[in-house]
Parts: sequence; C-alpha cells; structure tokens
Amino acid sequence: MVEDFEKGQIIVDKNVVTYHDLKYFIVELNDKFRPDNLIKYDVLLIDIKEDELVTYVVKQIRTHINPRIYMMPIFLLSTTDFHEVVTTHLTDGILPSINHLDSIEPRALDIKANIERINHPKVLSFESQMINRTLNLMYTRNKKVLNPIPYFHSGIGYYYPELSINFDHRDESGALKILEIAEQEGLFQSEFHERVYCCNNCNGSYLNYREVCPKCNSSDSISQDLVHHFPCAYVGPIEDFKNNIDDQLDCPKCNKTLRHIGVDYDKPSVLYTCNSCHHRFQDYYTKAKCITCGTENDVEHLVPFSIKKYIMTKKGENVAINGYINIEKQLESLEGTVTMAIFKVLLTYEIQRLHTQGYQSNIGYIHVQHAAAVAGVLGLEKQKALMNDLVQMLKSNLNPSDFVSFYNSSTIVFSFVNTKHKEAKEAIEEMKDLSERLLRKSFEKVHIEVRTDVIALKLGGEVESVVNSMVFPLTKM
Amino acid sequence: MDVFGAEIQEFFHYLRSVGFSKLLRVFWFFFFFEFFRYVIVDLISLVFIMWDRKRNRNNYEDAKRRMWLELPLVSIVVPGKNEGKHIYKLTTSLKEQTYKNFELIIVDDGSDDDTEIICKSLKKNGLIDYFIRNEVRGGKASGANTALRIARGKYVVHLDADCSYDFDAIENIIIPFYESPDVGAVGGNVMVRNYKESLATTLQSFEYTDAISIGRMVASYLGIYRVVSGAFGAFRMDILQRVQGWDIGPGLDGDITVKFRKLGYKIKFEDRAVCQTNVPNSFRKLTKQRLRWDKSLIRFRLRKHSDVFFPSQNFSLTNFISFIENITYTLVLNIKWYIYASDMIYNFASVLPFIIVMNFFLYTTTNMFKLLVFNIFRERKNTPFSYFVLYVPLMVFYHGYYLRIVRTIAYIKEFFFKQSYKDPWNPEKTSIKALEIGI
Repeated sequence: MVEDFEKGQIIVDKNVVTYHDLKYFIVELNDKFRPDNLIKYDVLLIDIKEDELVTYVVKQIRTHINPRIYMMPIFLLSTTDFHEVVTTHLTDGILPSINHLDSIEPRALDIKANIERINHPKVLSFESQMINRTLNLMYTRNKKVLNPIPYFHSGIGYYYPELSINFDHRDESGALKILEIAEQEGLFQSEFHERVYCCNNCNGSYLNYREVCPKCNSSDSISQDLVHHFPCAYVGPIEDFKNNIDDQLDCPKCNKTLRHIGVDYDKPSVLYTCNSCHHRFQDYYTKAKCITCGTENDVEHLVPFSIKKYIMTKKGENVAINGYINIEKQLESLEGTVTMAIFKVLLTYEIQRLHTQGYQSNIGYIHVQHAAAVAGVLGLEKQKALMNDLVQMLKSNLNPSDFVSFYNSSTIVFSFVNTKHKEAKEAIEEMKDLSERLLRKSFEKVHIEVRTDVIALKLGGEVESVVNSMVFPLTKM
Repeated sequence: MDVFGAEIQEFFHYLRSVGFSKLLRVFWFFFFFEFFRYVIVDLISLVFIMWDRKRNRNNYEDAKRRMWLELPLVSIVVPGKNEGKHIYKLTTSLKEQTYKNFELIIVDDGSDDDTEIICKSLKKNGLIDYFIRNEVRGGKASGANTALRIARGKYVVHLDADCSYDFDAIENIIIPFYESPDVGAVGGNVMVRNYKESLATTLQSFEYTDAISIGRMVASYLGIYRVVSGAFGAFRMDILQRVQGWDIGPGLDGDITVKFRKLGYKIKFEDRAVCQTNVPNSFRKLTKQRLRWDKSLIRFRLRKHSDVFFPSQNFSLTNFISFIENITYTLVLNIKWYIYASDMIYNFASVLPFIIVMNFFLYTTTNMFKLLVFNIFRERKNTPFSYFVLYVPLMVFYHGYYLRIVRTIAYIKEFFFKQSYKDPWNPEKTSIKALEIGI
C-alpha cells in the first residue's frame, strides 16, 4: 500500500488508514515494526499470515511499557479464524478485509473510550505494574473474568493471557504470585480450577512421569515373575525352570516337573532388574523428569500451584480506572524504617530547624534501577531481602538521629540531619559504592545498578515538593 | 520339722548303706550318659577351647585384619511373615554395627498386617536396602530363597526379625570364615532377652546359657556342631548357591547345616557373635515350639539325611559321629530313660522315693556346678549367673521331665504320623508337596 488512494471514506496513506474518527495502523510483513511509534494511532491491524509473526507482534504490543500502546485495540486482517489461542485472547477480533472496518469500529471505539477513562499513576514496583496492566486490559475489554486457559507452550500448563504474556516461559509461575497479591488486595475473587505440579527447579509443568530404578533413575528395566516351587522351596525366575529339550518346566533344584500353578508352584512376586545398573527391585520409584530443564523430580517434591479463575471485584474495577499503587506494606515493616507519612512529618520539622543559625540538613535517596525486571527475576521475597540489606547498610552509615523510609519498593529515602551538604554528598557516594558492592555480592547473577542523589533542604520548602523534586529524575526512567 | 529332719536322716542313711557300686547301678543313666557327656566332656572341651583360643590369638587377629582389609559385602536376609513391628528395632540394631558393609534384605512372606507399609517406609528412609513382598505366603524357606535371588554379598547372614544384635555381632560372625577356608557356615550365639518375663523364659534362658550356648561351643570344637541357628547364622554365598538355598522346614536351619556338612565344610559356632531374642513366654507356646523343633530330628536326621549313616562316596566320619551323638543323646537316651524309669519301678520300687530325691540332688548339684564353673568360660553374659541360682532346682523338672516328655510326644507324632508335614508353620501347599516327594 505504497500508493495513496481513496476508496469511499477510507483514506489509506502508506500503512495508515483513517476512517471516521479512528486512525488505524496496518502492520505488514517485512515492515520495520516499531511499537513506540504506534502512540499516534487508535487501532492496530495486523495483516500477516504467518502465525508466529502475528504472535510476535501482539506480544510486542501487549508487553509495551506505555499503557496507551499495551491497551491498544488489535484486530487481525484475515478471512479465517486465528488458531493460536493466546493471540486470539489478546486481540480484539478479526477483520475480513479493510473494506469492513464498520464491523470492528464499535468495539474499537468502546475500547478507546475505556482507555480514555483510565488514569495511570506512576508505579515502580513490578507487582503493581503487572496488576495494573492486567486490570487495565480486562477493564478496557469489559472483561470481568480472568480465565486460565490450558496452553501447551505455557511453562505451568495454564495461561492468563493478559498477565502471563509479560513473563518469560520459565518465570510464568510469577503470574500466579501476582494474582495472589491481587486477590489478597481484594481486586479479585477466585474460584479453584485445577492444581498443577511443577518442576522444583524451573517451575515448568512439562513433566515426563516415569517409573525408574530406585538406584540409578533409569527407566530401562525388565520384569521377571519369581516362581516358587513348593516341594523344595526353590525360588527363581521362570527362565531357571526352562529346559533345552522340551517345553516343560523343570525345577533346577529338585528336577521335578512343574505342572500346575497353585498346586506345585506359584508366582508370589515380580522382580525388576535395571538394565543400566543391574539393581534388582520390586517397587519402582515414580519420578517426574522436567522436559524443560532436565531435572529429575521426586513426585512428592514437585511444586504444587493452584490454578484459579479470577473474577474482578468492584474494588478491582475501581483500581483498574484509578491505578493500583502498592504501598509496599511488607517493606514498611522493615526494621529501622518509618512510613513515608512519618518521614514527611519529620522532614517538616527538619526544615523548621533550618532557622537555627548555621544549621544545615539534607535528604538523599538510593534507587535500585530496573526494579521491575529485578523483581521479576528475584521474586518478592528476595527483593525484600535485598532492600532490607540496603536499609541495614544505610543505618550503619547514618547518624542515629537520621530517618529512613521507602518511597517505593525500589527507592529508599533518608535524611542527613545537621550535616553539611558537601559531607552529605561524600557520604552518599560512599553509600553508593557500598550498596553496589553489597548487591554484587548478594545477587551475583543479576545485573543491578544503583542511583543516588542528595539535596540540601531549604527554608520555606514544601515537604511534598522537596521530595518530589528529589525523586523526579526517577520518574523519567 | 522333726518329721522332715527324720526323712533327711533316713535319706543319708540310705546313701551310706547302698555303697558306690549300688549307686552306679541305681543311677547308671546319670553317671554313664548325662554326667559323662554334659559335664566331663564339656568341661574338658571348654578347657581346650580356651587354651586353643589363647594359643591361636594371633591367627584370630590376623583373620580379623584380613577381613577388614577385604571388607566383603555381607547380605543380611530376614524373611518373615507379620514381622513389621520388629523391623524398626532390627534396623536400629544393625545401624549400630561396627561392620557396615552389608545390605539388608527383608522378605515379607505374605503378611496380612502392616508389615508392607512399615518396611516400605523404612526402605524409603534408607534403613532397608531391599524389600521384597510376596503376595502369597510360601514359607520361611521360600522367603529366604527369594532374598538369595537378590543378595550380592560374599556372605549371607540369616536373621530373625525379632532379634537384636551386639554392635560387633556381624563382624564377629564373619571373622571365622577368615580363620579357615574350610569354614562354610558360622552360627551365632543366641541369648534370651526376656529372661525375666516369666518362669518359662527364665528356665529357657538357663537352658540357652548352658545347654545351647556351651553345648554348641563344645560341639563346634569337637566338629559335630549341627544346627546353625536361623536367628543368627552366617553362610558362604557360593556354597548356599551350590546347595540352592534352604529346603522347606520346620527345622530348615538344621537341614541347611547338614547340607553344608555333607559337602565337607566346617561349621563353626562363634560365641562372641551375640544375638538376643525373645523366647516363648508361656509353657503352652514353648511346648508348641519344642514339638516343632523335636519333630525335625526324626524328619531330617532319620529320614532325609539318613545317608549319613551309610558308607558312600561322600561318607564323612565327623558327620557320622555328629549324627550318632545327636540321635543317641536325644532319641536313644530319651527312650532309654523310660527303660531306666521302668527298671527303677520294677526293681527298686521300695526305695523309689529315695531314688527320685537322689536324682533331684544329683542333677541339681551338677547344674549348680555347671552354672558356677562354666560361667568362667563365657566371654559374653547377658544375665548375671546369680539370677539363676534360685532356679537351678527347677531345671531338673524342666530338663528331666518337661522337655523329655515334649520330646517323646514329638518323636512319636513324627515317627508314626509324620506330623511335621501338618505343622501350620509351613503353608499347607508346600508341606503336601514335600510329603509327596519325601523331603
């Protein structure tokens, strides 16, 4: 569609179609697809036949950081149904041809109107982001129920398209933790659907249940019936009784011919012999081999997950519109910290103290960059442990009169009371260095960067604006 | 009191008046058989055993060193039905062993209690190496032979599930194999754990201490030891495979020992390899057990292995003597005792009360002497010998009357009616077939 042409009210300009009040962008094969540029359009049309590429494009949109992009209506330009189940769930319908825009327009307009209603508070914690994304997508599609769909490519066997799309295959169980938090916050009610058992190494559910040798875990074994000859108490496999002359079974111990099971012999047990280690046993071990990572799991050590159907509550609906800000209750409880509200009160007093001749005071922050990604890798518990370590490190380097609080789950703010700004700057540089070393030591496999800054308090400053001005650079990241 | 004193005086007067030759005439059974065999022979043998032990101390230490150097795998096999309740204790006892290179094989012979659940749980926790469950009961021999299919050890130790073992028991029962390459099997020293439980257990404990433990030490020294206890016995795996395991019982432990002896292997008793077991706690249960044991003498010694008495290519003098001694002191003398009793009633009817009292006196004195003197030769004691002193007089009735009567009944039942084939100790299906082919 490189040529401009006019057809009725449809105006086609390269990959852009304007129809009534909506601007459609058509993604085609070989396009250099740049999701960031979609901000100017209202609806995305995908005109690609290859399933994998369609899936790729949909994922790029639905995982985009910008809410206007990840909530964007998506329609597939196709004459047939699309078979990939997750992509079908994440798109808003099928458009047989560009001439049928009327058929999707009401839905597109409805979604657009819903998107307009949604507020987007700045949220830094990973959990909050994920909850917001899920609720936003559901709300804009008037969807009340988040159903788990059985999905072959899912790491845990079930997929919540609006949420799970944000997770890598190996981290999909993280989606369940997010939903658990959302349920605890009263945003969802749940109904039990299924229980899945996953690998205790990678949380994968693609498991091969096998009966294996208890000694070497090999599933290559043979079974033999043990024959007990009553008169002489000989016990051995049936092969022991076979002779080379005829089909009769003769006891190798007393040479009597076996005639009648239950009368002169029986088969009291079965014995397995492992072809790998030659171990003999009667009871197999049942093991679950993870196809994804190869771990041999004892079935009793598999990790169980409850798969539930989630129904959005009124509170969830409200949060979908106004945004979910996790005030990180768990982090607030960390020893040595005060709540943000208390921090602000103390800061007010500190500003008042500046009236004293020669009194100087500062506030600073330590921010763990890319917190959402870090949390995705570390999980909530480790993230909390990381922040706790940082707080303890800070407390040991600050004066006892200094106060520390969490601005959010990845940002710690604190005071340098009665300290010159230059000294505070030096101190925070040292803290940055210490923090980075601590983080590198504690989380070797995760790349974590730290940002710090310190500002001097000024007389007459409003607490709110002081804090916001300090952390403002972070909101642009 | 005066009457009692007068009776005693009369008794001693009788003793003085009869003279030594008359005493021998009246108490020939005691002097010529029992005193000679169970006091004189035992005592002399014990002195030689101790002397030998001192003399060969270096050999023993060398054998022990070689065993530790080789560290052979020992397969411990425990067949049984409804023994689950004992298995944990057994595994605990085995866990304490100084000798660790063993595999524990438990065969559940068609239990109908929780044995399977218990054993599977213990196996899961690593306390049992192999657990084989036979859905239908096949008898002790088939259970042991099933274990033999799995066993990989150089030596096989057969245990009873309700026994526990000294921490060095496995080590001590294996050492004799390194003292001589001709040793095919070693019997452990079975002691009574519940000796205080009842009069029946106390008397059995005395019997085990004296007749069984000392008796087996002597028999082993003389080369006529013939029953490696099923509760604690060790066998060379290659010979067990050669004889194709155990044959059906009752009395399979004595039977397998004879099979080893027939192949020319030495059978040793090791009194330092100690196992403790619970014996029947009532005379009713004890009678049942002894009837079973005593029937096996007729079934195995006189019938199944009667070839030992006749010259053949595999004739062995020690086996012959072993059998003769066994038959003489258990079967023949048992019959002879009745002849003796008839002799006394017929010829000495007037002095019968004196004879009975004298018999009691002679046997009690002998038992007391054995208790005191033989105690010196016992390296390992689980009961203080003082505990038995009060019970010594009762041993006359226990040995002389009770066991003798039980033995007589058993012999009659087996000799004339082949009752051992009807013993529920074995499943009927196996006994019927064994009877058919005469083994």
